[in-house]
Amino acid sequence: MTAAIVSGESESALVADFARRGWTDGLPVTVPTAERVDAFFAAAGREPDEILLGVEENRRDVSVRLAAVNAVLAGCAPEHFPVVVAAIEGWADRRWGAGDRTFFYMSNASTGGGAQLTVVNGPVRRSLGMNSGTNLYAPASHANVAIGRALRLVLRNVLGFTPTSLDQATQGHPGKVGFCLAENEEQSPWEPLHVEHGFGADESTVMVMSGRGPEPIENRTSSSAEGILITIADTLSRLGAMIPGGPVVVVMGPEHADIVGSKHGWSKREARQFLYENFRRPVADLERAELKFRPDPLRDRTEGGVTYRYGARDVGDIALIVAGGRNAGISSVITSWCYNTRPGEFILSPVRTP
Amino acid sequence: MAIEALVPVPDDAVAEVRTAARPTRTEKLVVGLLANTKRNAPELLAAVAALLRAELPEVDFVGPVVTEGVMLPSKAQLDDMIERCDLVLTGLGDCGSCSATTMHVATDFEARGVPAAAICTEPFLASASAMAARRGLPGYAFARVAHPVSSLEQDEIDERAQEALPQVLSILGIDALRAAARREELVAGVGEVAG
Repeated sequence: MTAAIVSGESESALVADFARRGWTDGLPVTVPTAERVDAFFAAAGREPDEILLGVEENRRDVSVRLAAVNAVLAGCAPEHFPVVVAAIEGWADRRWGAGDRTFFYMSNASTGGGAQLTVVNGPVRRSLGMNSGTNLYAPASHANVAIGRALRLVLRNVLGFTPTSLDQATQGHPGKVGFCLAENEEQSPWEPLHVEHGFGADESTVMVMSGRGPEPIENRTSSSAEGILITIADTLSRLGAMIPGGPVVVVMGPEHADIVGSKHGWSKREARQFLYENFRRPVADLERAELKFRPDPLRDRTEGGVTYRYGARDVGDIALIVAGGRNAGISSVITSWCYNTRPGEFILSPVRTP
Repeated sequence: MAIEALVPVPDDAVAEVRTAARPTRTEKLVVGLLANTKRNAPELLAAVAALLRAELPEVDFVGPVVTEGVMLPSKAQLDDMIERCDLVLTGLGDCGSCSATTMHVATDFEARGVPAAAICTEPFLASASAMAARRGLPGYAFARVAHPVSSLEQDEIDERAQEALPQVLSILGIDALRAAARREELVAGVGEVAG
C-alpha cells in the first residue's frame, strides 16, 4: 500500500491547500512530507501498513501511516508518536463498550459531546517534557498540546468525525482541541494510576476515556480528608451529570492529596471508597428535575428510608489521579461519556518504543 | 520545485449497494418495527404502525423489537427480521450517534433485500446522510420529522407519526405501487369507454 500524495509549490501553498480541503482543525499544520513521516515510523518502530483501529460503523481504519501523517500535521515531534499510537490502541481495545463496540463510535458522534481524554503515566512523561503541574489543562507543554491535537486530527481526518457531519456534539468542550494530561506522580502520596492497574512504575502507559469537560472543585479551607472529599463527591453528583453515570476520573490537586493522603494517612483505596459512597443523589432530586432513567441494580439503593441513585456502579468506577500545581486547594473531576466499560475497568495501553 | 506531502485522509471509497426491490403488493405485508434504545423509539414506531394499519390491507407487524446492542441489533435479531418481514421501520435517530446508527441499520436491511424506512429528526440530516453514504447508499431517502422526540408525550409522538407516515409510504414504495394501480384502473376505464 502506498500513500496518496498531493504537491504544492511551497510549504505555505500546501498549508493553504490542506485548509481548503478541510484537513485541519482550522489552525495551520506542519506539512507531512515523506521524510518527516518516516521519522515517526522509526520512532515508534511500527510498520506503516499496520492497522491500529477499525471502526466498522462508518468503515474507516486507522493505519500507522495515517496516524503518523496526522501527528506530523499536529506539530508532534517523532518521539511523541509512540504515545499517539498507544492511545489509538486503547481506542481499539475490546473492553471499550464491554462487548458493544458501537460505544466507541457513539463517543465520537454523540450530542453528548465527550472528547477523547488521554492520561499519561510513567517515565515517558519526563522524557517528553509533559506538563502535569500548574496549568494542567492549559497549553503549557509542547508534548501535551501536540499529542492531544494529533489524536483529534486522527478522529477528524482518518475516522471522519468532522464537526458538522458525523460529530454532532451539541456543545462539545475545549478538550476537543486536544485533551492530553499527565499524572503528577512526583507530588502524589499514592501509587500512580498505571501501577494501580498492574503496570510497573518504570513502564509508561496511556489511559483513554471519552470524557466530558473538567469541572473544578475549589476548597481552600478544609483541613480534613472528609471535607475535601465531600466537596469533590458533591461536584461529581450534580444533577446534570447523573445520567448516564459510570466511570469517572477524579483529578486531585497535590494540595488536596497532601491533606487526604499524607496528613491524614488515607490510602488511595479509602479515598476512592469515600468518593464512591458519596457520589449519589436522592431519586427525589432527579424526579424534581424530571430526569428519567432506567433502573440499574448496581446504582439504585435505599438507605435510611431514602432511595438513592448512585453515579458509579462500584468503587472501581472511580479513577483517582493527582495532577496540577501544589499551590492551592483545587481539584477537578472528569465524568465519562459513552465509555461503557465493565465496572472497575479503565483502559490503559503500554507506550512501546523500539 | 514542487513539494510533495502525504494525504492525511484515507482513500477508501465504499462500493455502492442497491436498495432492496420494493413490494409488488399492498396486501398482507409483514412490517418489522426495530427500535434502538432511545427513549420513545418503540412508541414512535408503534404510532406509525397504527397509522399503517389504515393504509395496508391485512398488514401484520413484528415488534417493536428493541436492539440488543445499545443502537444496533444482534445478528440473530437482524436475521430474524429479514426472515420474517417484507418491510422494516427503524429508528430513532434523534441524536448524533443514533441518527447515524439508524441509517446503519436501515442500509443493512436494504443490502439484504428488505426495504427499510429509517426515521430521524431534522437536526441530524447531515450525520444520517453521511452514514448512508459510508454504508454504500449515497442519497438514500429516510423519513425526517421535527425534533425532538425523546422528551415528548404520547399525543406529541402521534403527531410525529403523522408527519412520518407519507414519507414512509413513499420510501417503502407503497405510493408508487398505488399510483401504478391507479394508472391501470384509468387505462382500463379508457378501454371500456372506447370499447
